Parts: sequence; structure tokens; C-alpha cells
Amino acid sequence: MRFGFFLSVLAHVAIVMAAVVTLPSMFDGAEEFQMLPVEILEIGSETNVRAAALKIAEAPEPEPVKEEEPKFAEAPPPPPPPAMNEPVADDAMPALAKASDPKPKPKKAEKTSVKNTMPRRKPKPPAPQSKDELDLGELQALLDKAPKDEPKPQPQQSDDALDSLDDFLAEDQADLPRRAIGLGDGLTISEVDALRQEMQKCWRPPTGAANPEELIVELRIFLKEDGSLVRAPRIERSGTSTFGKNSFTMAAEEAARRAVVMCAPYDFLPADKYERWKEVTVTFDPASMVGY
Amino acid sequence: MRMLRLSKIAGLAVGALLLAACSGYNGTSSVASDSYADPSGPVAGSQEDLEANVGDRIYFAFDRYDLNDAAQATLRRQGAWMKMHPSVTVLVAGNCDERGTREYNLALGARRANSAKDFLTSLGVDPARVSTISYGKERPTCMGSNEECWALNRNDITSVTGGPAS
Amino acid sequence: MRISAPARAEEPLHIVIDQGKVEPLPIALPGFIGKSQAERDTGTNIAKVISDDLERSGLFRALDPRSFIERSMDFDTLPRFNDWRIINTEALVTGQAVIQDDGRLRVEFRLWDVVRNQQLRGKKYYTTPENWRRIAHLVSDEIYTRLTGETGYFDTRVVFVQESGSKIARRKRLAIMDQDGANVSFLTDGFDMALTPRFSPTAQEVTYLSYFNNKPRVYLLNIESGQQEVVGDFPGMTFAPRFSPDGGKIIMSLDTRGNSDIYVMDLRNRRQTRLTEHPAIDTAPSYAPDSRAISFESDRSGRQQLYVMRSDGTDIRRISWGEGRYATPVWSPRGDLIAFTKMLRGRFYIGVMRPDGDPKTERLLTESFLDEGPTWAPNGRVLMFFRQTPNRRDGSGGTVRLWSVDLTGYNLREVPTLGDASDPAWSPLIK
Repeated sequence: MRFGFFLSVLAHVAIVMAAVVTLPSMFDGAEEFQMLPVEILEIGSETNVRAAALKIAEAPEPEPVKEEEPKFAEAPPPPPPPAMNEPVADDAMPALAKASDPKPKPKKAEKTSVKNTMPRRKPKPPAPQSKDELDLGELQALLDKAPKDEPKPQPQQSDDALDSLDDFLAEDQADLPRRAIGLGDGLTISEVDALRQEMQKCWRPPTGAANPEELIVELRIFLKEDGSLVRAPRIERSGTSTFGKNSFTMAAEEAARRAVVMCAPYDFLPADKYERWKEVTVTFDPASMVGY
Repeated sequence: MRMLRLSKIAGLAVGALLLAACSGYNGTSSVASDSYADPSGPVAGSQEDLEANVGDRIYFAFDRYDLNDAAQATLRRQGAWMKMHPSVTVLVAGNCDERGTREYNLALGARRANSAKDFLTSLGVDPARVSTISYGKERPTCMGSNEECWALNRNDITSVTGGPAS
Repeated sequence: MRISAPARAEEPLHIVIDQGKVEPLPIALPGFIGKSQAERDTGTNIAKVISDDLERSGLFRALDPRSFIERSMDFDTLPRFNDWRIINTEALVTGQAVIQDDGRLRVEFRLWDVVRNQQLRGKKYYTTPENWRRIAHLVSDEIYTRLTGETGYFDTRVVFVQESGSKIARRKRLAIMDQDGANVSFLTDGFDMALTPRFSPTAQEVTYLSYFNNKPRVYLLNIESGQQEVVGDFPGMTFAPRFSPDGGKIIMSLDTRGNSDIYVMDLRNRRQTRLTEHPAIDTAPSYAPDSRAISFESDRSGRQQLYVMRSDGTDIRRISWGEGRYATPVWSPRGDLIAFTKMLRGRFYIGVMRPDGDPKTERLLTESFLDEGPTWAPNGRVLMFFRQTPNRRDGSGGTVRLWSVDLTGYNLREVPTLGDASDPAWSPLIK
């Protein structure tokens, strides 16, 4: 007991001493804090990549690289010059400085990329354009258990839309026979609605953006008779921002294009009205999807 | 110097609290408190004297800093006691409950401490003898999250920082 | 719900999509490849950190690696897009880690759009091997920015108050960590109470309140050197500090004889300027990102409410008009919103509103026994704050922890800390 008491006293003294000793050194208790530098280089786009063991058919359709483009793309720009895709290599680059550098330096890249471990390749000749999309279409068809030639059931939504559009229909009925058959005839509201429903299932709109109204994207899509895409959707209109293209508009464009591609084929559209839907413009408007 | 000494006392308190977790602390604790038990009562003008015979704290209503009757009565006793011990200096610490935001409570605690100081000054106590500090909601005396504790934590606590007993 | 059927046959069919799915984007992140075991370990760790970053943002869903079909991947080979589409991912990240002959770590990644079969982003990074975590965050930032358009915020830090000890004798010391809770280190020893730290715009300095010598004053602390100094020469308690957007000034409250007003101190010429002069409590000032305006809280109306004034202290306007008390206004780095703490009928909320004070724009994002002190991620998209749970009668049971929530109110998550933590302040983007 006595020994324990002695120990206890000793411990108390030690702690009090520790407390007193730490007093004057209040501010030097901080642990070493160091920021470590990181160097960053751009890696070129797909032109750098060996398409080893891949059929030519699977080569990606060269999408326009829009990253560094200063202006809106009114129509799909031509495939970029190879330099655009080259690594922006600058070996003595200071830490992180390059990360935010938006300007590609094609010439420098040409030189320095020689020591790049990745073999440089010329851009592949554009693969037969529709082939890839065809593959995708087939894949979608495989995944899709719905019978090919029947419209997918969209009963509730379509009916709702129809109800709410009774007036519209009543007005139009005189000169637009709804279920008429034949070339040149319009699609019924429910057919249009089915297409809309399908696309919005695939669209992941940009949410939380500061100015969603600037992220409206309009695409033109070209469809084959089986409902698959003839080629990649074309951007008709993108962004109303006066500041030009930025990361937000770019992400919005890609989200829209992904939605269209992902949802293909649109095999529920009535084959007899193909002329009416072989070309469709789609406006993706995220304004009502944002928290505000 | 006084401040530094106070910090040291705080350091001791922290040390003691750390030890509170040790087993076997109870025995030492009783030894320590025994040494305070002085049959002749606390030294006049000391912190113990203030706590035992005058009252060292006053309480406030939620989000208020005005002095109710009980608070004024306590402060009158403190004023008289300070006149009785003219070398005593005190620190009035304003505290708040946890039901407010941190920065606002720092300001509110300062208001509460200042209410007491103004009152003591109005009784004729030299303002130089009364310093103030706000701890906001950082120094609760009652730990539970309930109305009783919150009422106890909305206070001014007066402590002796200098005088005959120090 | 707009539908426009074609009026004439020549015009293409036009449809408007204004509804979409609000679900996280599925992304596949196989471990970064490497030749040696050390490289593979680093690669696996990097992929895990990226995956955690993206998941925590709430905007991505990292797919279970066990579902991956394509396994052995060469970094310089095109992925087999079909193999990835079939597991329903929309994006794929491939990467490799190489420890070079010079001992440095090289990390490369490519971000693929597997719906449209194209590379969206590719970069390589060089650093020291122990710095792999930072690279992972940089890669997360790239992916996040490329797919959402938002500026990334993963390569950032959080300074906060680490709390320990009993509820009565609380020990509060400054600590700093990566935004995901890793790499914690302490900035003060905890002997003096430290509160309300805030970063400078360079993330090199922190201003905070210290009770050094039992005198509450605003201090300026250099994170790397550990040096610090008291800010200004004020007669009373200074508190609630915050940097100006250019880092040249610190704005704070000064208490003189029970009255708190807002002052600004120019760090270059040490000049102190008083901005508010009112018998009410004026505190919690925060600059607008353009420095032209300052938001603060005041109880001049009788209870805590939010106000905005010009940065010279003129043109004070009240902006909070809802029920209850409002506190701790913090201007978004984007400038479009002010985050705040709201107290109503015994509950605490974190919310946001527009700086123009339109009551319709107020949105409450969280609610609990005590939510307090929002801080913005540098992209203005995510908020962090602290949440305290009630103590039992004996003081046990209560915790105080850091939480984050998306601006939309979704994705409320606890930020991992060692024990209790409060007063978080998010760093700006680290340059």
C-alpha cells in the first residue's frame, strides 16, 4: 500500500512537472508539416494508345477533342490535328503549375514526347463510322429483353401525358390524324413521349451547377430504321454562356451525348413512320433539375 | 506574472484531471481535500472565503445578460466584500450554455461579464480591480444536455486573482 | 414536360428532355497496374483513394471490382469497351504506377468514356513514393472535373479543432488533415484553448482564436514554420477572424466592455479599421469572394440575424427574414450563396440562401440537436460543419464530429476523425 502510494505521488509529481514544463513552449508543439511537390504532365488522347489485339471495328470513332477549344462548336469540328492530343510534356515543369495551364503546347510536345514511354502513333484512319455504333446497338439489344419490334411499354407516363395534353390533341385532331399510317405522317404524342421517356432514363443532368440555364444542350441525332444510331449525335447548340465553353458546358455536352448513345437503339419507334424520326433534335435542359 | 501563474494553476488542474482516470486516485484525492479542510474556516479575502460566505456566481436567462434580483443581491455582497478587502482583485468570467453558436456565445459571455463589472463599479468598486473574460460555451460547469444544466451554465463566475490570500 | 410535335414534315422531330436521373454515375476503377509488388500495392492504394473520393462526393458509384470482366489490362492498350459497357459502367479509369530508377514515383491515368469509346483525360504525375495519396486526390480532381464540370476539391485540407478530455475541462487543439480525414497532424499543443481556425487564401496560414495567457486574442499561424503572432493590438477580446479573399486583411470582432463590433486589420500596414458601430453584438464576418461585401450576424433586431454590408461598413442590409435565429454566415467561393447556422425551436440547421436576402431562396440542408459552423469546399458545391449530439445527465454519450453535405442537401456523411472534432475550415485549392 505504502509503495503504491509512493508511486502515485511520484506519478502526480511527474505530471505536474510535465504540465509546468510544457507551459513556456506553448507554440512549438506543432508537428512537422510539409507540402510535397508533384509534377504533372498531360497524357495524350487515344492516339497514343495501341489498339493491340483489337479489331479495327472496335477502334473508337474519333470524337472531336473539344477540351482546349475556345469557342462553341456549332457543328462537330473535324478530327483534331494529332498535336492536340499529344502529351504536353515539359520535364522541368514546376510542381502543379501545369495542372491549370489550359494551353496545349503542341510543338514542344512533339519534341519531348520522344522520350515518352508510350509509342506515338498516327491517328488511325476513321473506322467505318457506323460500325462502332452498330456494335453498341447490338449490345444494347442483347441487354434489352424487350421484343424488338414492339414499342416498349410506357403506359403510365404516356397516359398521364396524354391526359394533360387533351386540349392540345383536340385542337390538332382536325388536321393531324393521330393514328394514321403512312410516310410523312406525324408521330402520335404517345410515340414522341415514349422517345422522350427513354432518353430521360439515360440522362444524368448536371445538378448543383451555379447557372444551369447555361447548360442547355441541343443534339441532332440520326437514326437507322432499326432505331440504332447512324453516327454519333451532333451538337447543334450548347450553352448560352457569354463566357464561352468551360468545363461545365463540356460536361453537359458529354452527358447529353452519352444519354443518346446509351439509350440506343430506339427500336420502339414505328417503322412505318421512319421518315418522321430518322432525324431528331433533342434539347437537354437541366434547369429544372437543379436544387434551386 | 499573475496570468502566468493562473495558467500554471490551470495546468495543474489539467494534470489532476488526467490523473482522475488513474485507478487509485480516490485515496490521494481525499488526502488532498483534507488539506483544504481548515477548522478555522477560509482565509478572509480568499477565493474560498468568496465562495463560502459571499457567492462567486450569478445566473442569467437564455440569451440574456441583464441582472435579475438574485444576481444583483450576490453582486452587492461581492461589492461589499471587495470594499472589505481593498487589495483583492477579481476576474469575472462570462459563460453560456451550449444552445448557441460559438462566436455569438463568446460575445454574449463578454456581455454577461461586463454586466457584473458595471454593477460592481456602480457600487463604488474601482474598475481596475475587476477584469473580465468570456469563455462563451467552452467552459460548462454542468455536463448534461438538459435545461437544468443549461441554466447552471449561463453564468458569471468570479474568481480572486490577487489580494491578501495570494 | 414540354413536347413539340412537328408541324411540318420537313422539320426534324424535336423533343425536349428536362427530367433525368439523379443517381450517381457508375465508374469502374481497377487497381492501377504495376510491375513490381511495391508498384502494384501503390497502384491498388491509389485506386482505392480515388474510388473513396468519388464515392464520397455522392456523384459517383464505384463499381465492385469483382464484376469486372476485363482483368489484365495494359495501360497503353485500348480497353475492351464492350466488356465495360456490359457491366453498366459509363466511365472507366485505368492507370499505372511506376517506381523509376531515380526513385521517384510516376503515376499515369486515363479516363475513358465507355459509352462513346473515347479517352476523356490522361495525365501523368511524378513525385516521391510516400506522396502517392496526394496524387490519388489530384487524379480524383481530374475525373470529377471532367465528368461533372465542377472544379475538383479532393486535393484540399481541412483545419479543425481536435477535442479531448472531459466535457468540463475540454482540451482543444488545432489540427490539420486531408479532406478525406487522412494525414492528421497537430498545429498547437493543446495547452491553451484554440477555436475557430480559418485558412488564408494560400492555405499557408491559419488565423484562429487562442486563449494564450488566458487572454482570448486572434492569432496568425504559419503552418509550415509553426511561427505565430497576435493579430493587432486591441484592448479587449478579439475573435471570429477570417481572411479577406486576397489574404491581405483579417476581419474579426472586437469586444470592448461587453460590446462586439467588427474590425478589419490590414496585415501589410497594420492599420485597424472599425466597420460597425452598434451596441448590439456584431460578429462572424465573412467576405464575399469579390471582396466588395461582407456578411455578418448581429442581434440588433433583438435576436441573431444575418446582414450584408459593403466592405467599408456602409449600406447595412438585413438578409434573413425567416423564423428563428440565424448565425455564422459564410459566403460561398462561387459567390452565389451564403451558408449559415439556423436555430429554431430548439433545433439547429445548416442552410443556404442567396445574398440578396430573398426569403424564397432559403434552403435548409441539415437538422439536428446541434449543427453549427458551415465551411465551403473551394468549388462551392459541398459544405462541412460540426454536429454535436446531446450528453447524458452525467456528461457521457455526447459526441462532436465533422460532417459534410452536398449543396443539394443530399449525401450527408460523417468525416472520419480520431475522436471529437469541431470548427472545420476547408482550405482553398492548394496551388
